[in-house]
Amino acid sequence: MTVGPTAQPASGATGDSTSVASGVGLATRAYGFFRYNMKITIGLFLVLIVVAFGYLGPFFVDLEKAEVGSVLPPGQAPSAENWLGTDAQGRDMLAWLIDATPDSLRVGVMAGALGVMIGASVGFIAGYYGGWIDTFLRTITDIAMAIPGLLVLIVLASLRQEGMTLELMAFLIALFSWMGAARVIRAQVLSMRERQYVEIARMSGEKGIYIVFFELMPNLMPFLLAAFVGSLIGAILAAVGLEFLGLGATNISTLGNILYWQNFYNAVIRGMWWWWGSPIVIFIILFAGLFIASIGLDEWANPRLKERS
Amino acid sequence: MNPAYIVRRFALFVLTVAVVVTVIFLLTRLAPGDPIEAKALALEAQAGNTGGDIGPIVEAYREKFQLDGPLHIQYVTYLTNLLKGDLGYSMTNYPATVVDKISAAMPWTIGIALVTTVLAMLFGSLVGALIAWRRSFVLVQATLPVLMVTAAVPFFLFGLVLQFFLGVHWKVLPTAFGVDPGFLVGWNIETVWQLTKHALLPATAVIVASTGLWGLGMRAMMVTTAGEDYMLLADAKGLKERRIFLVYAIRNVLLPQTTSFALSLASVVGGLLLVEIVFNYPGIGLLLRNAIGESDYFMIQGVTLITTFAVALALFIMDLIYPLIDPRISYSRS
Repeated sequence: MTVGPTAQPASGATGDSTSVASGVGLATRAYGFFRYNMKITIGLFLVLIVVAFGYLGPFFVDLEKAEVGSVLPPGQAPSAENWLGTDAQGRDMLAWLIDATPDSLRVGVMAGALGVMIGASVGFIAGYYGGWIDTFLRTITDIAMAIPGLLVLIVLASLRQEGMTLELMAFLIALFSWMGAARVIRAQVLSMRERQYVEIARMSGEKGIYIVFFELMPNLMPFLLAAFVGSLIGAILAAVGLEFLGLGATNISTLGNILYWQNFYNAVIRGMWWWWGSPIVIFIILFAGLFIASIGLDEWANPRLKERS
Repeated sequence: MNPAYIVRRFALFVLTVAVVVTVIFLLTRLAPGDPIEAKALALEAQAGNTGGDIGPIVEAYREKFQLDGPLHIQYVTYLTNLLKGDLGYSMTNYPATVVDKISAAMPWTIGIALVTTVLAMLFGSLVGALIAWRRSFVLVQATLPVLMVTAAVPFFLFGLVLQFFLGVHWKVLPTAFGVDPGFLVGWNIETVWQLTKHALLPATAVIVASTGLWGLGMRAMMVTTAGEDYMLLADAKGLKERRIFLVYAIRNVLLPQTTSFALSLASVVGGLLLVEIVFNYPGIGLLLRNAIGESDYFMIQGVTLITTFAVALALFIMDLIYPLIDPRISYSRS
């Protein structure tokens, strides 16, 4: 009897202290996570630089100057007036780059997200059901991996007479950037399917759908994140390739389109280094960031990859 | 070798080619407003000015692909033509056929692809292995972040940078073409010099970028190997450092490296084509760029079909060779 009243406030107190601690704990845990996974932190930081450039830039730089003929004379080297110079058509490079960055990121995120959804579904179904379904889906994945996607995309894009839109390009690219995700998720589901907690859930009569969403999905999250960044990289690469060939959404400013125009106007031969150099710097920061983050995510998902030293 | 393995790999090769052939057929036939016919008609309208005669192409096109017939008949006609090795005429370079143009461009692309692959594989594997090797110089180990950057950035961006510094700024190497304009290619020393000089920049761009990929793959594999018992034993036996590194470590991880290369071959080829465009290098990539600029659909499709075929064939051959050189891979793995 005496235990009851004393136990009541005690449990209440612990409840309070845990809820307070969980706020602090979350921050500590996040700090610990980023400290332990330096590669994710560094990668994320580099990507955020590019994101901030594209999304905060408009607050500091007048995007009107990205219009053709807005800064004359054209083809100026960087100066106090135009920090990154101007192109051969009188666009301010800095304004143009800021204008172009968000749409380049958007294509990648849309295509990467769609790609990972397709890939995860294919990998999931293949791994979970096995048998002939697995053989069938794996064959399709192997075939898709052997096809140079860029070339088929080129055929597709060249046949469209009414030009490309950003969304259509993202959709088409997604059709060629799901295979990596499918392979990773399939392998994981195959190994998880046999684990005991799944077995227990199955034996206690849980439905397949329940097992999928409540037992498997949470464990797959790190792999899904890593796969998303992987297909994001592939998607931005494909978009840049298409745009460099002049097959992108040409009426919109993207970083790849800037590269197309510098090639069109022979900026390299004419020594206009600021024209081709500045988008390349952004690409290097972006790709390096994404790539380092994806290595970090892979190690987080699969700690055995981490160096033992 | 297990016949079932060969049959399965061959089936995959045939399926890959069949899928691409079919997808391209459907894309071109189901595209709204038949762009090919529109292009042919536009060329015909233009022919008066240029003096070229486009009429035969349009006729040949209609006849050859039985455009008035139902879809399945068109498909059979299309397949029959492909099997005969007939990819049609180049629409903008009549009477040159697509096969003519591609076979003229193919040696350039294959040459540069082979050289860069071998060099990047050797160099990248060595660097990657040294980075993972705990007893190598700190300076070498510190190059890991550099590899991460080069592995991440597309080939042709390096191409632009190299082109500017070595070709335009310091004027050390030519920035474009396969040989100097007007140079006649023959079997002599001068030709070799010309070919090397012009291939150096595009090849370097590809090598720098793919060295990163090879190096990272090699490093990851070496880190795993370093923990193996046989490595410990080799060390305990007092074997020479170099012998452990070369014979015990590198040899065992080199073969799995080829698998990862096979997986990325398709995207490597795509990257190489873009490098050719940067350097106006007369391979398949430049052919493709020009075809896109002129809306030469037959050429675009021809390049896609032949490149896909070549990549699929290369993968098939690698699949066949692989079990022969690495006994750890069983032929009958399901």
